[in-house]
This record gives sequence, structure tokens and C-alpha cells, in this order.
Amino acid sequence: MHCLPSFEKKLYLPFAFNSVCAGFPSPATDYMDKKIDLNEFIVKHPAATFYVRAEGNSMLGAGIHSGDLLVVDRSLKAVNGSIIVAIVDGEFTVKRLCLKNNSIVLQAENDLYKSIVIIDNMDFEIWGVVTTVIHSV
Amino acid sequence: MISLIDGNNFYVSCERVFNPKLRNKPVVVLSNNDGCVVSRSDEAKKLGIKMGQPFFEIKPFIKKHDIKYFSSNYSLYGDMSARIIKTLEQFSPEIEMYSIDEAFIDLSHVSQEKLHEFGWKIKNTVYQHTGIPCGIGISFTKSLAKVANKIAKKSAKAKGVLALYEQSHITEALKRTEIGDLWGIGRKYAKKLKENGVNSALEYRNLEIDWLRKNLTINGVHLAQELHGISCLDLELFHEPKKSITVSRSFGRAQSDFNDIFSALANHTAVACRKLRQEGLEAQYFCIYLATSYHKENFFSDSINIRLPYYTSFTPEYLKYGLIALKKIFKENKMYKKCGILLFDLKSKSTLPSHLFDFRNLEQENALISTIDQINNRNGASSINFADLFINKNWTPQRAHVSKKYTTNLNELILAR
Repeated sequence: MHCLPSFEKKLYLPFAFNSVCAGFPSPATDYMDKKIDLNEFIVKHPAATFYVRAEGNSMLGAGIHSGDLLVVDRSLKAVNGSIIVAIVDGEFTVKRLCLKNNSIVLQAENDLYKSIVIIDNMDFEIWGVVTTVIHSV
Repeated sequence: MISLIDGNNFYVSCERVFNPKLRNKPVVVLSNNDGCVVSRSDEAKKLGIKMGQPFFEIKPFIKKHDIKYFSSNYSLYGDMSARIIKTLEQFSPEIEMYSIDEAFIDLSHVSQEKLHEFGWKIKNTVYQHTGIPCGIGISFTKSLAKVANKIAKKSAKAKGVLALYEQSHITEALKRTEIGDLWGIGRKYAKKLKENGVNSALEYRNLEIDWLRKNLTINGVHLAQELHGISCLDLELFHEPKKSITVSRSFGRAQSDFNDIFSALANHTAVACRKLRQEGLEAQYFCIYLATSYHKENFFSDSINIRLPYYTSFTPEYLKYGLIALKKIFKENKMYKKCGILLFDLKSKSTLPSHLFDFRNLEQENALISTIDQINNRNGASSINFADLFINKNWTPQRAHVSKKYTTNLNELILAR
């Protein structure tokens, strides 16, 4: 499967659908709009957008479940309150970025999980900003 | 002004974006078939690992230095390359993708005093959007941009970005550039030039035009003019039609069986013919070749040229004559390590005249082959193929240490806790 992210190929969903009939043509055909492209809606910067799989439920409060697909835009600047994918001591983590009085805290949104306080000798880098969560129901 | 942008240690950098544990460690990426080193991190360079060094030579040191090694992951590198090009589009309307990790972009819309700042903006943006660190050289011509790029990466002061537009700076840069590092000067010419006392790019630029024309052809003259700031190599924004197509691979294990080798050759042939059709080309001449391991004793290789009765891109035609040709050069009891096919003298299909004694049913051939191409385009390469290609798959290249398709396969994404 070589489908994501696509620069050219688009996934179209029919917006107005009418079945083919042999007799009188549907008067709605003249009013067919262009089809909805979810990529257009979700992926604003295709070259900088990556997909990441969430593992564990540390961000349940933000609507991120284990196994969900995260859409991560690296071109966006992370600000206080952004949900980010970060590297902490060589591991990827997804958390909410909290900037307070020169301190950086990666906050979990589940009481069962601890937040991560970034201290000086930690290897820390913001990898990208989560813009969308894709969750199957 | 022109800028050359290239990814630092590109394949290694691609791996590092998705595997942070590789940072600050010696990392190498191996060629097709895990044969030799094709990309090295700075840490690996410091250990003395050379470009092109056979993998077996560094194997004994892997544990001691904790060297991380990977098979080439072209799905990943190709995707990251496309992202870089796409990112560069916001900086210039004219971009020439020169190789998987190098691009020239036109910067004539940027004023001279802003070039340095602009270079940094490009570097920072490419890093932020893709995670790939890159080097940036800017100057009047492609060849000077290449010189600037090389110094930008080496110099502690430049830190990866260098704009050369003041004559005194250009002269200093050329003085520091060894003749063998000049764009287009191969090993043979470098030796010849050194014998004539030309050791730096600056000494090259000072050579007489007549001498250059006589000893290095018109290309040598163009290079000297480029170093003077006179542009001779324009941005190649459109692909020139291909002149030849080569497909060759080393076998995963050495092969001595005729059928195994023909199966490999048939696969390469199918790939080559597909490329031919994609470009709207046909060929009449092709060459097949066979070789044992270059690193072992009694190195043996042989090749044979074949002329087809007519220009064609129809795969079965090549398979039919390829089989006959292979029988002619194949020898028993040899451990072959590589085979390949080269199509040359390519012509655009639309310009070819029809043949008086052409008994082919072209309509049927076209219908068959375009159906096969369509199915393979939709369902992945080799979904459907000619029977010759299925005899045996013993030959498939070893890619034992390949990383995941982090960007092109939903089942292989990075995980974040």
C-alpha cells in the first residue's frame, strides 16, 4: 500500500450521487458540485505532513485512543497548549505542550499517566504538531 | 544567482528522522544487496569508514563502535526527496532536481545582500518541514554554487550556508577547492591536471582556453567559464529524453544455475521495457551482461549486443532474444553475482517510420502490453507478468536490514506513546 501522504492522487467521495438511468436524465446532473477531497481538509501542508500511530491511552482526554492515526504537521510552530509529537530521550511521545515560567511540561491527559517535566540534561525535541486525530468508531 | 541544496548524508539523515536512537551514533546505509556503504553519518566518517567500502570489511568493528547499519530503503528516501523538492517550491519558481538528494534552484529574484539570510531561511525551513539537515551553496553559476556548497559543509564558520558573490571570496574559495573536487572533473582528468601542475580550482580557472579545449574538450572550457561566473550550464527544468536505460542488480546469493539467472534477467528486462514504454520510447539495440563477484578471485564477466529486427518496446520480444543471447554467454560452473540489461539507441515511438517487412500484429501487441501495464500500475509492480519471470526467485537482492516504510505504508508508521 503506497497511499499516504499523496501529492497527486486524491481520494474522492461523491458529494451528490445519482444512479445511472436509461431514460430521462436526472435534472440534478447540471448541478453536480466537485467531489469532497478529505486530503484538502486534513492535509494543509502535504510536504510537511506525516502520519503517526498513537500507542497507549495517555492522551485519552484529548480524544486520542491507542491505535488512532495522528496527522502531524511539521511546518506548524508549536505553541503553549499544542498537542505535539516530541522526542524525549530517544523515544517518540505524544503530549500537550505546556510552557510556564521558563519550564516545559509535556502533559498527559489521563490521570493514570504521568506528565513529563523537561529538565536541562534531557534530550528533547519537538517533532511536529498534531492537527487531526483519525479514530475509527 | 543559483543555489545548490543537498541533504547532508541523505540516506542516513532520512533514517534518523524516524529513529531518534540513531542520533550521535555512527550509522551507515548499504547499497542494493547490502554490498557496500553508500551513506555515512559524520560519526561513521570519523571512524574512517569509506564511501563504497565493502560491508564485510566493517563487520568486525560493528560491536566495538556500536555502528548501526541499514539496507537501502528507497521507498523512504524517494518520498523524503519529493518532500524536500515540494518544500523548495516556496522559495523559487525554477527548481531542477539533480539527483535524489541534490537540487539547483534559481535565486535571481533575491538581491545580493539578502542571499545569505535567504539561504538560512531555506535551510531552516527544509529542516523544520522534513527533519533533513542540508547544505546550501549560492553563487553566479552552477559550478560555483557547487564549490560554495562543498565549503559551506566543511567550514565551521559557514555552518552549512555560503553565498559567494564577492570576487575576493570566490578567489579564496577556488584556492581552497582541490582539483579533484571540482564538478565534472573525474579521477582521470584530475590526475592529468595534477601532472600539469594544476592542483586547485583557482589554478584551473587560470588555464589558457586553448589548452583546455585541446586537453579537456569543450566541457573543460565551459567549466572554466563557469568558474569565472559566466553561466554555461542552465537549469535543466525539463527532462531530456533518455538515451539509454540500464537495469542491473546483484544477486542475493551467487548463482550458477542457468534458469535462475534467466529468471533474474527476465525480471530486469520487464522493468527496463516498462521504463521504455513510460517514456514513450522504443529501442532496437540491447546488451545483456553477466559477472562474477568483483571482490573474489578469477573475476569473470561477459556481455553481448543484440540487434532486434525492428524498434520495439514489447517485452516478449526482448525476452525471446535475451534467452538466445544468454545461452551464448553463459558458462557452466561459474558463480555469477550480477546480471543486467542495457537498452540503447532509444527513439521516440512517434517519430519512427513503419517497416515494410513488419509481420507483427502491432494492435494486438499494444493491447496486451498496455493492459499489463495498467494492471501493474493499479495493483503494484509485478502483479501480472510473463511466465519467464516466475521460474525462480533465488536471486532477489538481500535487504536484510531494511527499516520501515514510515511515510508510505499505514502499517509501518512510527509509534508515539
